[in-house]
Amino acid sequence: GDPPGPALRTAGRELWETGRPPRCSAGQSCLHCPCPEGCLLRPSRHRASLVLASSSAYKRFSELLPKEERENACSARVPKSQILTLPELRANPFQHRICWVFSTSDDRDDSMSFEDFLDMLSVFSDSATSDIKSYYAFRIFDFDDDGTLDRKDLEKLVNCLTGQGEESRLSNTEMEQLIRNILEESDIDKDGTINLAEFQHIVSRSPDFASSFKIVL
Amino acid sequence: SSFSSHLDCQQADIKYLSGWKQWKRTSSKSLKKVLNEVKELLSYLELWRHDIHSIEGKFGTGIQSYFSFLRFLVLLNFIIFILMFSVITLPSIISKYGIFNSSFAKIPPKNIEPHCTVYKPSGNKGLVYFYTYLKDLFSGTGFLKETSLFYGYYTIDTAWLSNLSYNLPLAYLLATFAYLGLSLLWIIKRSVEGFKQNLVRDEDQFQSYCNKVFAGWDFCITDPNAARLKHRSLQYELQTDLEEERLKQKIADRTMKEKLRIYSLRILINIIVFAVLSGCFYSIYRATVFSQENSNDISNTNFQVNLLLQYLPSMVITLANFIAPQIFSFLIRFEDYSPAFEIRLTLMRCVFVRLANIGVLLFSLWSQISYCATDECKACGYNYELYPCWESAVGQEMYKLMIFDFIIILAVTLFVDFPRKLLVAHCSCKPVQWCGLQEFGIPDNVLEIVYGQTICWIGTFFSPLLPAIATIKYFIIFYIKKISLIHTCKPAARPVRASSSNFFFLVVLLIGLVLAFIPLGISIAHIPSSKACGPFRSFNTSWAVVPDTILGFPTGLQQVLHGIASEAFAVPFFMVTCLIMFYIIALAGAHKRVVEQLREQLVMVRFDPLVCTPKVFIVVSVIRHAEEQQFL
Repeated sequence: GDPPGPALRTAGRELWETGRPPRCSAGQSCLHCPCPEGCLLRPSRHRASLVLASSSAYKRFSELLPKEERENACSARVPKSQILTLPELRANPFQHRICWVFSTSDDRDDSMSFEDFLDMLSVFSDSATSDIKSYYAFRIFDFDDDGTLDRKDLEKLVNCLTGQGEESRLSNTEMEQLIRNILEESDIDKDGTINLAEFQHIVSRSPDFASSFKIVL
Repeated sequence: SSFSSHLDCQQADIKYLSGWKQWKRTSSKSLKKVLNEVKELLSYLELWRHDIHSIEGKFGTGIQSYFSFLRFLVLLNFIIFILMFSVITLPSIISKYGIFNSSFAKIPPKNIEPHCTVYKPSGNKGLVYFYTYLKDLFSGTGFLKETSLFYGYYTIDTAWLSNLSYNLPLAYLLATFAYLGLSLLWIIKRSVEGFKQNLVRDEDQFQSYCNKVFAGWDFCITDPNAARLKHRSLQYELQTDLEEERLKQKIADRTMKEKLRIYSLRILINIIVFAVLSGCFYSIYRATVFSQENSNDISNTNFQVNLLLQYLPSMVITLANFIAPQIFSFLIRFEDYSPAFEIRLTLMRCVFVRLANIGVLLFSLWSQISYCATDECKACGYNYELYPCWESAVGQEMYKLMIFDFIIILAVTLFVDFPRKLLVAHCSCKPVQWCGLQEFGIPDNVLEIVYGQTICWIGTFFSPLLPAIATIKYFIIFYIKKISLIHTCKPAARPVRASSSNFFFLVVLLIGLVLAFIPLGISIAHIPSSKACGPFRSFNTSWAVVPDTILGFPTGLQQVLHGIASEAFAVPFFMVTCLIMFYIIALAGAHKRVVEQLREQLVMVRFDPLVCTPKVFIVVSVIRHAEEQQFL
């Protein structure tokens, strides 16, 4: 058929090169379906399946608000401390990163609106494709937000996994060995960091990812 | 413009394709949802569902799989009991008491020396002390021997219910085969799921670190305790894998001199293990012979000494089962294997010790039973003076083993675990605190119950009501172990994965079952059945009832059955089975290759930005879907 249009090619290349999906003119960050501005899937498209489930999401969200604000729950913002009281998040070692990634607050205080809350639930739901999940997992694991997973990010990631105490951390030699192994398995262009494409590749071959990267209300 | 209309076309194509795919996906998803709901409804009927769920939440999936295994054994034993009771015991009791107009026929055996058929069960006659009943209860002698618990009760050749005749000997044998076959099929069915998971897991060995790190945390965890467990298990898994890799490197770097030293050390240690095993077997043999010789001596009426003598083989076996694993886990440190292999090898040795001990006990019993000095004895084929009803004697030994096993589990929990906990809690001196609380050792506990189950399988032929005792025993053990776990155990330092545990439990159980086939096969087919009691009096061996029945079939059927059993059928059948097996293996290999090729294509597609058009994304998801189908 015809070669892909120029806008698509730019969008595709930008995605692979920078590891960040481009933002379309509406300021939305999206992933897959093409639209003329070159942006890919809008989160609202795959959130359609959550319309039925969003009534329970709305209930949970409004429970986090103080009583006076519950009527305008749709426009209220819940502070981070309240979000972290959710049972699904309180035992999660990545709770702070999750709040950071999904919050669209201008003040950078990690407060979440109902839209952000729905975004978060949609990414962690069963109906999100593994591409969406791996994209957001990449953003959650990218502790310094530079678009790649370098050694420091991987170290912080492993420390999150093994627990917070002193005796639950791996020793320095073990950490070096582990990071070396991870980079050997996933770093294809051998630049010492894992970009989004490499991350999505390695995660697509992982049998446990889809079942573990899931939150059910 | 042409560009936007071109894009519109592409979008229309996408909509059409994704509409069809969406419908397929949603319909398969809704089917899965319906199946899941049905499964959930059925799970409400499960035994102990809430208990096991709470154990999983507090102690992890490894320990939970132990308790699921225990529940499986309770159900298995209950089903076997129902089978044996309804096929063997119920018709016997009905015909012996003449209910529903029934009767039974006792045909005196032909062509048998009369002295073999003399059987006077020495019940309790006259006034006896109360403790005799207690002794009888614990050792299966006296009043218990003539009940339907043991083989000797079923001395019926045919039972008549109104006008229907019921061939009890054939039913007895077929019920035995049925319970063995049922156990085998059920265990294989359960282990197939674990085996599939193991296979898939092994495939990704080259990617295990990334899988553990990027997909290691289960985002569904809400309980802080479960989260703590998960942290610990992740830490342990990562550290073990790294250690294994370091060891593999060390092994690869070994020089020739070191290799020779290690191999000669391993040979020496295996010789020591072999010597330990021989010591165990010899002591069990001597204990059994001594116990049989002295407990048949009726003049010894001292209650405690008699009971001690009866239980001597059980005590020696329990002692051997306790000492041998300690020696093995001490020795294996010198053999310098990787940690995972160390655990597996020690477990295999312990399994072998426990199951072989039962075999040695049975062997020594048989050597006593078939020891023949006089001609009269040789005519019967077994020692008719001491063991006129030898199957009941074997049944009694199995009964004693089972009761003693249960007593030991109870005693260890009451007199070792709880005092230890009290000591640790109230005494703060250094050695006690260093010893600490015990951990719930999964392999040891599993071997304990597999040992008990093997006894039950072997003993059910000689004592048809033994599965009922096993069911009650495992039922009580569930609660004992649960209480012991919650109150006296500390959390495991090395968390165990559930999927590999499940598979391991079922493999060990399967080994126990296969090892149970051997003594049963020998008893049924090789050793002459006792002529004084039991349903097989008129036959040479227990197996002989089957050819006898076949002779009663119409000639056509007889010829068919003879044909099936002959070589002319067996050899081509074997060859066809081999061909089918090779075909399936080749098919699996071809599927694996296709999946690999598709994966390669996936890799190439992902990395070329020029190729990343929406159509390709759809194709990619089709390939991914095909992959998922493959693994299902």
